[in-house]
Parts: sequence; structure tokens; C-alpha cells
Amino acid sequence: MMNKIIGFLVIFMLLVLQIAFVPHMSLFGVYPNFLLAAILIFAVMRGGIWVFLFAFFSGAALDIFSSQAFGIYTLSFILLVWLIEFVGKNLFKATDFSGQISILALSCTLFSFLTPLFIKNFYWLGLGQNIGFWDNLLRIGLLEIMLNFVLAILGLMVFKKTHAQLYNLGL
Amino acid sequence: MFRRNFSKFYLLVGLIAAVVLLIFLNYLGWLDWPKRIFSKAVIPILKPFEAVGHKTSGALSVLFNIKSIIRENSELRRENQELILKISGLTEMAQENKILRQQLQIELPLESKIVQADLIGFDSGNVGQYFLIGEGSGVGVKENQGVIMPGGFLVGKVVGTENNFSKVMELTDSNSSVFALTQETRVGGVVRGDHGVGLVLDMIPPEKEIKPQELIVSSGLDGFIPKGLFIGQVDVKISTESEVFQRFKVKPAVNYNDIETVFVILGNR
Repeated sequence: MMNKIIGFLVIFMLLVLQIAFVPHMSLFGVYPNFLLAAILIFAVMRGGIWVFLFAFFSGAALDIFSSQAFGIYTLSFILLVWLIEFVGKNLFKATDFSGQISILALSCTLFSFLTPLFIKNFYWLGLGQNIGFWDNLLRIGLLEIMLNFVLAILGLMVFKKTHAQLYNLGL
Repeated sequence: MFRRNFSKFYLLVGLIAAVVLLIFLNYLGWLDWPKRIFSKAVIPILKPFEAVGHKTSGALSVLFNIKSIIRENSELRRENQELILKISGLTEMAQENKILRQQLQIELPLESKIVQADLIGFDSGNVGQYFLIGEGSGVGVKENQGVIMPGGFLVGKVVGTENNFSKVMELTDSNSSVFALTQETRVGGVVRGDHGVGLVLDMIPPEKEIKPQELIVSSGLDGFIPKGLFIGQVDVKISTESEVFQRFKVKPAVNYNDIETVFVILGNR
């Protein structure tokens, strides 16, 4: 139970960082998504039902402070976690580092596709603002994919190094 | 293993159904109180982190941009001298205007009611140019109200409000458009955001002429945004001869990286 509580606290702190601190560190106006990286790492390393709940709550928290329609990030995170569970079990060996890298790369790419796609679809339903899908993808998406991917890889390496210490502490 | 995969599929369907339900409840406004409770817990923590981020990015930008800062400093000193002279002349004219209005019994323009708000964060994604301020509907902030910086510089407009915070769309966002007026030639047009990197003055009739470096202000036709708020300065013409309307690139008056405190215009006193 303790590790679940720590998980939610980590999500909370990453949310605060994502909204208040990370945008100041943007590269050409684009910044990575720390919550996305955390959810992907949890999904790759731990898996299970709790990751779905982490994805649900972190997406909902992002949606509250997002300028887009409510539900976009929640849906994106849940679908990505499910994808990792499905791909990790059926296509890649998620225990291999190369398999994990592949899953993270695929997830980061899909996130940059899913978000503007959902924004467009929500706009057609009368919710939220309109954006240019391909314009957004070409101007922001490519750099966003790279930043999220690099962040996820770094986070994965840090998680693996600290995993043993956390396990010894009973977390 | 097949049963576990099926249960994960049911979990996915259940969570997606929960999200759809949440979207529906949010649309009806039934999620206001949970959002209020959550934001009350988060916002006090956002402010110090935003301040740290602002100082860190400021320090880093000094390191990387020393040469341009030195050049910009000398240009600003020269511009400052010119503006001081202009202000003294305009202050005299404003006083004369006030006296003439009183003598002719013309009503003085109404002063706007404003509320100060601190910047607490930014949009959580890279889509769009938005930031968050620490005041919301609890103090009277409503959608479409104008947001300015000290000095009367128009920054953007409110696009979403919760009880204790609001979402502000910057002028540079592609969905932003403000009715504007050139200050000297009095040509009306629309200032639109240009994908977060700048502004474009659009819908200028082909027969109208605009002076280079002319200042652009809000025209007041938007309703909530009062007349006379400084938006930017005309830069270069970007439309071709074959286009119906003229378009100009506009240099924004505000550096969005420097925003810390803004004022929301609630309406007339």
C-alpha cells in the first residue's frame, strides 16, 4: 500500500512541476511532459491494474489545468498504458532494454498523434478549441516526441538504478 | 493468461466509460466542486515553483544571450529618452482634454474595474499559448475579459474560469483575434496570433495606408476589451499584391517570458 501512496505523491509533484516549472525550460517553445514519462515508465516497469489508475488520475489532473477540453489527456494516458500492456505482452519482450526503448518510442510518438487528434474530435463535438492537426504535428509534434522520448529513457535508467534501493526499503 | 488479458480489456472499457461520463458531467458543470477542492490544494504549491522557474529561466537566458542583451540595453536607453519627451507632451494634452470635456460637459471616459492576478503556471501541453492566473470566478473573472500588464499592454483574454484560477489565451495563440486600430492613421483591422511566435495585423483594406513602425491599439469593438490598450507595433508587410486584404507582421508589445503579474479587466466602474 505504501508504494501506491508514494506513487500518487510522485504524480502530484510531477503535476506541479509540469504546470509551474517545466514550461520555463522549453526548447523552441516546446517542453516535455513529465507525467507522460512517469506513466510510461510505471507501465513498462511495473504494469498491472494500478498503472491504469495512475494514468486515469494523472490525466484527469492535467485536464483540470489544461486549456483544452476536459478528458483529452485522461483518454490519451489510458490508451497508451493499455497499448504498452498489449504490445509488451504480445510483440516486444518488455524485460529487454531494447524492447522497453521500442515501447517508449512508440508510446511517445502515439501521444503526439493522439492529443491533437482528440482535440480535433472534441472540437467537432462542440467542445474545446480548434487546431490545425498537421500544422501542429509538424511544428510541435516532432520536437515533442524527441523530448518526451529522451526524458522517458533518462527516467527509465534512473528508475532502474533506484529500484533496487527502493525494494530493499520495502517500497 | 487469457482471463487476465480479458479482465484488462474490461478495465480499459470501464475506464474509458468513466472518462466519457466525466466529460459529460464536466459539460453539465457537476465537476465544479471536485475541481475546486483539487485546485485549492494545488495552487498554493504552484506559485513558488513558478517563481523559481521564472528566475531560473531568466538566469539561463542571461548566460546564453549576453551579446543581444547588451545591444538591446543601449537601444532601450535611447528609446526611453524619446518616450520621456513624448510622455511629457501627452500629459499636457490629456490635461487639456479633461478641461475641455468638463467645459463642454462631455462625460469623462469610464475607468475600468480591474483585479490583480499572479501567474501560477502554464498550459500543461504544447498545444496553444495559454497561461494560468491565480484569480477566478470567485472574484468576478469571466470568459472573454481582457488581461493586461501594468502600463496598459494587452496580453490576452480569459478563456476559462474556475472558482480560484483562470486560463488566459495569449494574443500570439492561433485562435486569438482582437479588433485593433492603428494609432496615427486610424485604420481598423484584426490582430491575430501567429502560431505562438508573433502577431499579424489582418483585414486591412487595400486602399488604406499604414505608416511603418506605427503603434497598434485595441479598438474596443470586442466588447469586453476596452479601447486604447497597446498591442504592438507594425513591422513588415507580408501580404502580396494579389491578396484582397493587406496583412502586416506585428511586433508584440509584451515579452510573454517576463509576465509575473497581470490585471483582468472586469468591466466599467
